[in-house]
Amino acid sequence: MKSKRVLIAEDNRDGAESLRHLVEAWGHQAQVAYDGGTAVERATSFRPEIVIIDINMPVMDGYQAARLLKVADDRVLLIAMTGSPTVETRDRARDAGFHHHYVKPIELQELKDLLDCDTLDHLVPGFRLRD
Amino acid sequence: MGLSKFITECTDAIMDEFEAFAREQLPAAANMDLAALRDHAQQVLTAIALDMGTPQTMREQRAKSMGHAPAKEGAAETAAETHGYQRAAAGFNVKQTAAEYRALRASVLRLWFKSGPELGRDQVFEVVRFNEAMDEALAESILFFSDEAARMRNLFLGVLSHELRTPLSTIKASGESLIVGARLKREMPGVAERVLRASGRIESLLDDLLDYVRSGLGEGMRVAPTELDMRVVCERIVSELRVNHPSRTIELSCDGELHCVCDEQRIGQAVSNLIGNAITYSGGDDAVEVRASGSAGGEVVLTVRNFGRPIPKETCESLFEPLVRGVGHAGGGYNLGLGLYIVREIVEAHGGTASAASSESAGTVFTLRLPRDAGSVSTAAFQGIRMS
Repeated sequence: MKSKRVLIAEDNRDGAESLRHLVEAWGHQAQVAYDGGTAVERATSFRPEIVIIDINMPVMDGYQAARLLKVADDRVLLIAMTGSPTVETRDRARDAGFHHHYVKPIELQELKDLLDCDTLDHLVPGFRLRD
Repeated sequence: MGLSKFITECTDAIMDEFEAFAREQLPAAANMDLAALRDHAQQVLTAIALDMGTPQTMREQRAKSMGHAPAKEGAAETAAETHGYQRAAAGFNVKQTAAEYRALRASVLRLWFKSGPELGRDQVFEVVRFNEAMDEALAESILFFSDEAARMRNLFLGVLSHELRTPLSTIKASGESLIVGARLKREMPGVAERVLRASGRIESLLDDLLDYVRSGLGEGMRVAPTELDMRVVCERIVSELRVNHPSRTIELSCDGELHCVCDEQRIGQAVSNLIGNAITYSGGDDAVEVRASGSAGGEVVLTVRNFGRPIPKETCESLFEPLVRGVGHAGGGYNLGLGLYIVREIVEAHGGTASAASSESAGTVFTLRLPRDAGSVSTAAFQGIRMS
């Protein structure tokens, strides 16, 4: 498995830091941003291969951040996460260019498999809503 | 004079009588705009007078009396519908919503009888039709009220689920980190603290939920007043919040006699909720001003001021209702829409009042007025809060 650069955009600091810790423990490099604007800014220097974005964020929401990140790098893997999943959040996530739509708390094994994947297979969209 | 004519011609007198009743009997009406209360009752009456003026066959009458009236385009339906929605949003309960119709019916009939009408067969029929129209409007209003109440409850459950998921994510990711860390024999600084903070957050969400559920069951908020110095309580709460929000300025000023009798934990919770809100809804550079003053009149007044976006007057009135969330709420803050409701419950259980005012120049100010000795009044206030 190749170590990847993972950017985590989440306004709840403990939420962001706990995920960063875990992603690092899994052997990847991780950085955090507490709002969408900062995430887009950080991406220009960090050049993440994968970005995990909380949809509901101040300053710039996750959808808008995703669009800008996609413009900067169209190969970046975008994972949306939300605490209030609806058909609407899923559809908007798809329209904004996200590859995955996860419900908090994230299924961690599934996330790990995504991060560990070295092929481009993971760029295939997988939109899920909890039943 | 016939009843429908009487309703049309003596609307003002009926409205005065109705308003007096509503003020006396409906606690939630105290928060309501006088004009709104009258306005609606008038609309219902107009629609009913109109309905009474329309000829009706015996068959239609029987259908209506059994609740099978045909759905019709008309003011009565609209007025009753609006009424149901508005009352749910204004924090009325179903009893109070129905009581408005009772008051309206009683006001009309009492005044009409007092006017000494001739009472023959036609008049009896008119009263029957009036009652049917009232019942129909009431049934519609209650239906819309319950729809709106259900919608608000569902929204609330969605918010609650969302707010619980965030700390749960932290706990889950941290637990996983600890497992991976143990396998790698690596220290995991800060992970345990995050688990504790997230658990604390879930605990406080559930505490708020319990307070809300209890108050909704009519138990009211229980308080245990003891002698204390309000200055000390405010200093403790302010310093706690300064630690949690190191980048924010919270100013505290105290004056006058601040020894009083109240529930320290509950009053602390109320002040903490107000300051927390002030922080959430104002800019990072603005100071939050907290003031405690003891007046000679035997009251302790607590105010919390912020300079966030001003709140319109109508909104100020409904802020203390449960499940109302402020606009401009950033996703980061935690908010079930119960904070101010709990504040009001606490203050009322002490026999005090909570209010909000907002303007561009003076900022947004929440004011809590507490009697100096809540020990002597809390039981009475406790029993008097809800209409039985």
